Amino acid sequence: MIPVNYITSILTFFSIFCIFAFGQNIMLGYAGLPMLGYMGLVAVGAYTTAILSTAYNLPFIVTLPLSCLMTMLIAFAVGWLFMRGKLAGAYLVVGSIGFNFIVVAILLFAPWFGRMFGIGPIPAPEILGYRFSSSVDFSILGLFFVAIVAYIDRQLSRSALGLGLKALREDGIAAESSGVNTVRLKVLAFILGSFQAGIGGCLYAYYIKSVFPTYFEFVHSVEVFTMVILGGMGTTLGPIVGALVPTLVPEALRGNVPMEARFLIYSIIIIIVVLFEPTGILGVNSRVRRLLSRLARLKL
Amino acid sequence: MILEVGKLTKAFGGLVAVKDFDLQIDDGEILGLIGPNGAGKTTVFNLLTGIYKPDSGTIKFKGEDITGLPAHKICKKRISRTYQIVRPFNNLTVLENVMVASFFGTPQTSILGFPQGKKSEEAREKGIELLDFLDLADKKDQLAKNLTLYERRKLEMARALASDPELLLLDESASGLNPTEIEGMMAKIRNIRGRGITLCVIEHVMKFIYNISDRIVVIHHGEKIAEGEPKEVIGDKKVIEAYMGEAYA
Repeated sequence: MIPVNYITSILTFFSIFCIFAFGQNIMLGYAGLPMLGYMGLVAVGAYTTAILSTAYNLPFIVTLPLSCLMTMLIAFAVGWLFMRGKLAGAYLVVGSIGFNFIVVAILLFAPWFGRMFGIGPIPAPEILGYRFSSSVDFSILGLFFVAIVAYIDRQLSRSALGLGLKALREDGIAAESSGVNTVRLKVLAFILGSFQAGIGGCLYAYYIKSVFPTYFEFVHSVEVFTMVILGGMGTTLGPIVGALVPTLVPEALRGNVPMEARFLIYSIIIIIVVLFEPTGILGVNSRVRRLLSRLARLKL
Repeated sequence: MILEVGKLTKAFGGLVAVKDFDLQIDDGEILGLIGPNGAGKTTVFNLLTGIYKPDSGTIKFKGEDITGLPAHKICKKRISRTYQIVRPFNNLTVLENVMVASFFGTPQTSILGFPQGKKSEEAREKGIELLDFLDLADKKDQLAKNLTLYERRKLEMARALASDPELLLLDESASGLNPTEIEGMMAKIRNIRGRGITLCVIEHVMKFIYNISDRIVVIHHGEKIAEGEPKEVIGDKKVIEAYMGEAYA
């Protein structure tokens, strides 16, 4: 019998990954911006929560919006800087990796963030007098926010703004001469996609109870990036499927296979998917999606 | 006069692509812009639509100075264009392609300059009307990348029309098309003029430009060498020299 706590802790990590992937999806999937330093933004959210809840004893209801606000503010600054500098393609990849390293370096070496010892312990969050302390509580909280973030994604993909972001991804010059203010929209994609980093970072901090710089290193940004690519860029179901892979695969192999081998297998899965389904498992032109639309037609 | 360009100059490093170029476009006319390869025709379009900033010179549209404005602002001033090498949004549907321009291409009255929800149905209806106008209505839900070249060229025209232009710049709309499609394209261009839109057309296919234009401007090495009605221009000594070499002039 598998213990409930085990399942709910996987579920909690899954929902946090999912939230990250939705944020990355707005930047990478809709706007086509290869931002490869997402954990840098998550770190901003997580540390904001950690500091506010430990040093100032602020409740969840305050730390969550402030974490989002802080993350979006930093994303605005970074996005504005990158777009002013006209970073695109490979240059944006390198720039955003640099951003991730700078954030981790600041957390490690600046005097205010607890350096390598991090910040903790973070008290359990309370909403309307209820303490979210068990992993069951957290998995419910996590899935609730996944639903919110997925809803935002869905609305965005159907809105005029979403259409503008997609146009930008497809062809920046054609978008610009169709009236899209591409610089403004790229910066906006950064801001919109960092909202999820704020939520995810806040939940992450509460769940693991203390934050350390190593949690936000570049490797983890690569994980978030690959989730979106695996699942299907620019789709609402893509990030969910994409987040399932890094949560389930290592767990499925736990116990029988050493740690390094687990990552090897995970990496091989990524390569196979990218080779055979370049738009992702649920990408716009993937086999699964074509199959689904064929089934939908059969019903009619 | 809808557009007035004075002494427009643009250099790329040592290469002067456009030099002291003057151009007037009258209300409601179809102006042909021709010249040998590398003459600077597309550079003129890129300068007019804000893709490049001119080194010097002025561009006046309906009397207003629009020199050096970014491309998205020029679009909202009601100048649209198509591209020599087509640039549809490949992974968007045909209708979505057109809707981008009707959402973003017209001057906006919404919060922060982003289109609002209620505009959506309007944009959709307008998109379908334009696709119908260009015989693409039955393809509206297909991805743009699955269209033929002729269809993609027409899609670009529909997208350009969706931002309600008063001046439309067409860059080689006939290149790569077969004779039947070229005939179709000429009819479309005349219909666009019928909607009260002024056109400036770059073209290499002589039969096309000769038939469609009210007036032709010839550009060579970035400078205007001739201007006038199609008949006069095609017999012009300088023009023959530019295209065929001195021996034929």
